[in-house]
Amino acid sequence: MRYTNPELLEHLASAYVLGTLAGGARRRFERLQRDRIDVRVRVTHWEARLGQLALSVPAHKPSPRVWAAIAARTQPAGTRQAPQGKTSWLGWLKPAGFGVGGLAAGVVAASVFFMAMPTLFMSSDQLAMRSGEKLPQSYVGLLTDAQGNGKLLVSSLRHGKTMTVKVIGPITPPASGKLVLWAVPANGPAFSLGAVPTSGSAVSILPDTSEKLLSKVGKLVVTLEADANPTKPGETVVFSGNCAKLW
Amino acid sequence: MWAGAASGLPGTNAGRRKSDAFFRKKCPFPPAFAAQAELPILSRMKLADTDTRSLQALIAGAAQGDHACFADIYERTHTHLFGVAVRILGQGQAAEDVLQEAYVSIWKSAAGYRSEVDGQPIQPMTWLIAIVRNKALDAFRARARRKESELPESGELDEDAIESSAAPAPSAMQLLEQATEALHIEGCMNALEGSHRQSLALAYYQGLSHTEVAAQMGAPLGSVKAWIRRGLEKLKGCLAAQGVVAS
Repeated sequence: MRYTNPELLEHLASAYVLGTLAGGARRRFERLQRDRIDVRVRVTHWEARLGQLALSVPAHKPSPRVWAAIAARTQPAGTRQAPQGKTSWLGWLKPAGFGVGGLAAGVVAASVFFMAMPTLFMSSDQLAMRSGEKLPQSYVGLLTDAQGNGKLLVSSLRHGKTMTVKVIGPITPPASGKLVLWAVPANGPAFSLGAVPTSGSAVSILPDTSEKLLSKVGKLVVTLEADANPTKPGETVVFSGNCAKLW
Repeated sequence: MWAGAASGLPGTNAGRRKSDAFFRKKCPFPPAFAAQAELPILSRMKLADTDTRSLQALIAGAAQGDHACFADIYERTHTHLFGVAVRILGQGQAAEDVLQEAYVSIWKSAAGYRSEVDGQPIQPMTWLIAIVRNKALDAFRARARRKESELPESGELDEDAIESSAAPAPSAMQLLEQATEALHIEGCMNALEGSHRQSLALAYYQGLSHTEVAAQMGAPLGSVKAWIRRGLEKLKGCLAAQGVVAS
């Protein structure tokens, strides 16, 4: 099946999140999600909708064993403790010793293995990235306020269709209106890249690959807009920065 | 893939994770809203902005490999998330196993959390609930498959049967009513026929399949499928009208 019908995709996404999409269809849809960002977005939106219903579910207390098991699987040996529990530093020191030893041994073993057979784990391109020779080809923008304080990091893989906007400095949410990110090409009108978050990081789908959209863009600005769908950037520029090609 | 496309750059925290968590014992984002966790669940239905932002900060900390932040996330959310698992699997080992798997997954994929997806804010709780629900649904379906196969092994199925027969109260329908009331969409949702709402509630809160909902309601399978589909569409419309999740 080609999964081009938006109605069908919407129905599958809702059934997937609800749980009524089962068996082979569920597995197929999971694979489709991995390949298709638009499908993943639909699923995320349904998770947001149905997640609201879960908030009326009564809370239950699991056995303390559950946290112990989670901690054992997630925490490096030596720092295990009950959440917010107090442990004496002496008690902490002993397992920490094992932890350091274990960690060191693990690092040595992994490094040796890595150095011996790096191609076993990654492609030569990834290897170059890992060794610090290069970063993946991306468009990157660092936006600052008028004082030069870093506020937003915008990134998109060169041939990708998603853009991530990460808040890297505190942003006071505007009392009214919203913050909108604009791409400003050297020749041509600025176009909107969507609203920006005031905390955390946001991912959005671009109408085309960033290569097509951003190859001629040198500057990025964020303006405060009262209009829900502004067509050109307003007067109030809040943050600005350059858009750079990372290759 | 989603997380890969979103982060783009190498240097994920797999390596840093251990050493960071090792030396830091307190999460740098103390939950200023700890008291919130003690409130009855319905009064937390609409999470305050500060609450959401603090949980976001904790997830960001966990994504950096800070285990103390992760412990805070557990402390704040585990009774509610366990409630979600218990609704589907019943109180017992299976629900605890799911909770454990879910938190290990949360720890591993914290860097993949996005506070906004394609213009839609995604509450941290929504993201956490989706992880737990997916794992609970998988476990529930696996249990159903086991039951279908001929003979139980070492009395395992009897135990499961006891777990799920411990009828969870309140009913799925009551939970749906509570949730829609708290979301101020009860009027909108009540425009649906009772059977539509009932089938949606059973699928969502009990994790039942179409066939199971049909059996429980004594209704034809085809009707149940249509009712659930209409129920989901209605829910989408009601939430959009209320401005909770865009359509």
